[in-house]
Amino acid sequence: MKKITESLAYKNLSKRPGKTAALIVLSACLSFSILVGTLIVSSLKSGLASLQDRLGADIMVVPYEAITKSNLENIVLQGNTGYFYMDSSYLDKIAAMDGIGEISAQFYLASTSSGCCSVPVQIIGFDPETDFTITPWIRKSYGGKLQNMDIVVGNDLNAFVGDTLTFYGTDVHVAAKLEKTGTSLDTAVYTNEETIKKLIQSSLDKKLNTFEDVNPDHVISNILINVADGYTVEEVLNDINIHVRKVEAVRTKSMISGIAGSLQGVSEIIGILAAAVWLLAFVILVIAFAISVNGRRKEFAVLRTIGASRKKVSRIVMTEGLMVSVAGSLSGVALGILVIIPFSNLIESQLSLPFLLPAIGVIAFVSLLSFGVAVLAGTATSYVVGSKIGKADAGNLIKQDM
Amino acid sequence: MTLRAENISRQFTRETKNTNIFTAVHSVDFALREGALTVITGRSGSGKSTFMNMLSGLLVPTEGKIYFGEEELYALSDEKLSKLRNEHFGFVPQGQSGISSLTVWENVLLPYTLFGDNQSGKEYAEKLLSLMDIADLKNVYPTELSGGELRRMSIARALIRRPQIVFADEPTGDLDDENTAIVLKLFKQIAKEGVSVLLVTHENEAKMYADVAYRMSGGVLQQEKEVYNTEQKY
Ligand SMILES: Nc1ncnc2c1ncn2[C@@H]1O[C@H](COP(=O)(O)OP(=O)(O)OP(=O)(O)O)[C@@H](O)[C@H]1O
Ligand SMILES: [Mg+2]
Repeated sequence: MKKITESLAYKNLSKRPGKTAALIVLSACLSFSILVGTLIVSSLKSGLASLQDRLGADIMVVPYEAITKSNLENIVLQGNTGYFYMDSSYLDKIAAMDGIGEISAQFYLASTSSGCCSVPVQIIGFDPETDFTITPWIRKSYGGKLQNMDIVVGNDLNAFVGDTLTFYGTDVHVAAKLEKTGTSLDTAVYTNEETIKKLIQSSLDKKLNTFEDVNPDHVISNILINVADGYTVEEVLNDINIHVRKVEAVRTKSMISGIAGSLQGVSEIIGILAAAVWLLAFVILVIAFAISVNGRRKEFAVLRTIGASRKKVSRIVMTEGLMVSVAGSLSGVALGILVIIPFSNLIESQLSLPFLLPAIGVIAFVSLLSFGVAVLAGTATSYVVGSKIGKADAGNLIKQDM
Repeated sequence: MTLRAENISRQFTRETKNTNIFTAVHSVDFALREGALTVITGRSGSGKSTFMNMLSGLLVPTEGKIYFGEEELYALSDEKLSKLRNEHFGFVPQGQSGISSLTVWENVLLPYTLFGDNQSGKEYAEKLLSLMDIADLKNVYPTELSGGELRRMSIARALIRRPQIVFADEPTGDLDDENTAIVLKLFKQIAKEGVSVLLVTHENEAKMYADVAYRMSGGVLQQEKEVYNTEQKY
């Protein structure tokens, strides 16, 4: 290092490794809290958005017992397995009602533990002719048309394109793996109506289905509906609930609202926590840095007796601050990324909230921003402390004994 | 070049009986004799350090002016005043004054390296270190030194640029008799070589070496003795 300000600042820091490490940790907290706080909050938000997309229907109609016996929300939102059936004639009956825009049936089945997965997976069948929720999602990762006995697997499943899985003794072929949504939908398997009917039949043949007397050709599990223009969701919902017996029409928004609510709460807590950590780290950093510099008042006075100008003394202090700040902020960002990427699945399952990390570009941008803000805060601190020591008269500073 | 003070005073805000203003140095007129060892003695708190700090460009007087040759010290920009201190003044501060992150060697050469000169002074530094009897401690850090060794280091640092004026505030404070004699003789020697030395102390022993002696009491400076020819004394 050529310039004395830098080399002296560097030596001052490296000769006090303990104090310097503490300052670095504090400035690391500054960038870490911003980065991790922002990423968690935004991941939760985009998780919710993608959940809303995937459940992109206004109304879900299910057999009445799905509400009472199986916990519907657990199956649809939490990724628990479960299935229920109703007669397929409900589809025609409801399709004929007023105010129905898009309408499509889905079929549920849960596997026993199979090759890909140590736990049973939820298998969801859809009608490619009418489906409007799953198909757009599949199209993002698979351009072709699903053939019979083809399946598409959620991103979290340990199965890959080309694999053959066996459900109830029937082989199916993995045609595509879906994009991550950060929700429980990532642990399910999707297939067309024909295929799931065969699988339901296989489960019946093996006497492994909890329903003994269903005819796969005549049952469906739920009906998804988007209301037509000119109708409100409320009207259509009430109409179905009044006129169609033994089924329950549920507003999907209200299913998600529980998640949205707790997500709001968790986001706020994390936001407040991050802000508190930031503020605390900042205050302690200011104090610690001021103490570190003030403890060396006499050294700076000695520099002035040797001929260092006020500016040079300030600059040495600021350089120390900048070095600490850059080193700390960089490690904070690095640590943040190291923590959040591998642990995003853990966070998802621990919070049981949808969690979808933003794209790598966005993460890079947020990292840069967190780094920038942290360095700025550190620089401002050292600027204030540095100018103060520069302004003091050397004749007054020099009295403190070391 | 001469160093002169015209009617300088320094006040501090401090609780006293009647006012909050405390006057540490009272209207002092002073001229530092060139090529001589001037000693100021006085009790603790009499204003010696305050006076010396003002003369050496480290503390702005509340009143009065200080001239180094034709330059009025405190009319200079901080940049210029600092450069002047670096080139023409050597300062031995009261108490310990090592830069703790630098070795003895780096401390002594700091007046050069502070302005980007990493070449000059090395030979003279070697000489000063052996003169101060700390040549073996070149690569040691100040925390590992005794009080006396530190003091000798800061004397070497003050002399490294061969300044015209050397200010020394209690330079023999932590030294044993032998080292005190070495240091005082050294100051005497460089004074003979043309350097103006101003030495402040509360030990009367230093007066024996003085060409000019003053006494500071209660912020007032009084001349005590003037010795024009001290050769025969040693
Ligand atoms: N920054 C300051 N604020 C208030 N009072 C001060 C300040 N600096 C010095 N004083 C006062 O001025 C007086 C002279 O102080 P100074 O340091 O010059 O004494 P001194 O003669 O060098 O003493 P010593 O021999 O103990 O070093 C003291 O009474 C001290 O309390
Ligand atoms: Mg003093």
